[in-house]
Amino acid sequence: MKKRQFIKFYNANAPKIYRFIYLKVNSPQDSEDLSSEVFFKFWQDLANKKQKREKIDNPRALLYKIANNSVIDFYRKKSRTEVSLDPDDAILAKIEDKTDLSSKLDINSDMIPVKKALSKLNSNYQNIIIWHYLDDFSAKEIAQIMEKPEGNVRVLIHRALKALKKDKSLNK
Amino acid sequence: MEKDLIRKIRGLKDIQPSDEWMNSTREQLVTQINSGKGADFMGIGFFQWIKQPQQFALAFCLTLIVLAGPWLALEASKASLPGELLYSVKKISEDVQIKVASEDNKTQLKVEFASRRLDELNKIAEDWQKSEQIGQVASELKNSLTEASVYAGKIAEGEVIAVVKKANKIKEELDEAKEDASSEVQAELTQAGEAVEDINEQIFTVLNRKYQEQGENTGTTTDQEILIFIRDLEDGTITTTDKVINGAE
Repeated sequence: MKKRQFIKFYNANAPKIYRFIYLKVNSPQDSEDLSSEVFFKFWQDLANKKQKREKIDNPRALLYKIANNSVIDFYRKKSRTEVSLDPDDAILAKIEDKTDLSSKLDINSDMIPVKKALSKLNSNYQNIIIWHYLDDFSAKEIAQIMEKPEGNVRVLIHRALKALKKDKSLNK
Repeated sequence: MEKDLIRKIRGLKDIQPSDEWMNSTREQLVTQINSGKGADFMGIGFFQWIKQPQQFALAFCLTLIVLAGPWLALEASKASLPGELLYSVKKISEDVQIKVASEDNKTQLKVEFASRRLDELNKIAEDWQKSEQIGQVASELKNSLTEASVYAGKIAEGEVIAVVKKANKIKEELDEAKEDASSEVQAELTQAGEAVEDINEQIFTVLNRKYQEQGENTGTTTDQEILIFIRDLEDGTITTTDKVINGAE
């Protein structure tokens, strides 16, 4: 990927990455910091892969994988002092808890119920809803990010939407 | 219902970063890319080295050390004596040479190494601090010549004269080395001298057989010359190296 291509790639994907992270951490400042970090990491990753002569099949999938890992790291750092028998569950629980709607939101008030309902879903369902319905990823691309079979992802998309539908705040 | 939910989800697309953040991050990325930290978007080609003279110089020096280092160590070890740091390098290089050499070259190499041991013996003989090593070197000298005699029957034809000359020169010098040597060293050197005689005998036997099989007319001039000189040597007609050399040439 040449310099010009990279900047073009940044212009097209930075708003989406910011939105993905914002929906996960619910803080504009943290979202900006994490999004910048994601692009720097992505750039480093490109260089490393180029040095090793490894091919990148889907740069967008790689970018989102880095973004997702950055969010997990963000919560891991925050919950470092917490003791849990299952660290992954603790991190995911923290992600869900942190989506506090009392913080200042710069989005349309009609979207608040959707955002609130989304925040109640588990982390995987959140990701799938954002990637498929907001960022227009195909099941195949989501499968690349999650490193799961495409068939499983199709099932997960269906279940995630079903789970979201169950939220009472959306039916008002 | 589902379409309405999807429409509501899509409404979240309104979440956008500020233009200020977009621009500042873009600028930081461009700066990072231009400074060449981390990623290389220009590609690493041959001419890229010219843009990075320090790295090139470092790589060049490292390559030089890696390639020339062992060669320099080997060269430096050639003049080393027993008990010195580089002597082990010299011995290892000799062992490697013997291992990779074909059987018809082993005699020449062993005689050459015996000659080196004799030089070392003469050099360390005057140093009383190395008296312990004299016995060891004398023993190695004897062993080299004994092993040379084992392979002497398979010696390459082109090397016969050189080996015979060198082996007999060693034998002559052995007598000088025996003077002032301890009885133990003298015994080793006597056996080394006997090994030289074995070498001569082996070569003589092989060439003589070849000469008889092919008939006198078909034997090469070189074979015949060698046979005559070794026979003279055995008979005692030629006793000094000079005579052997003059006769062979």
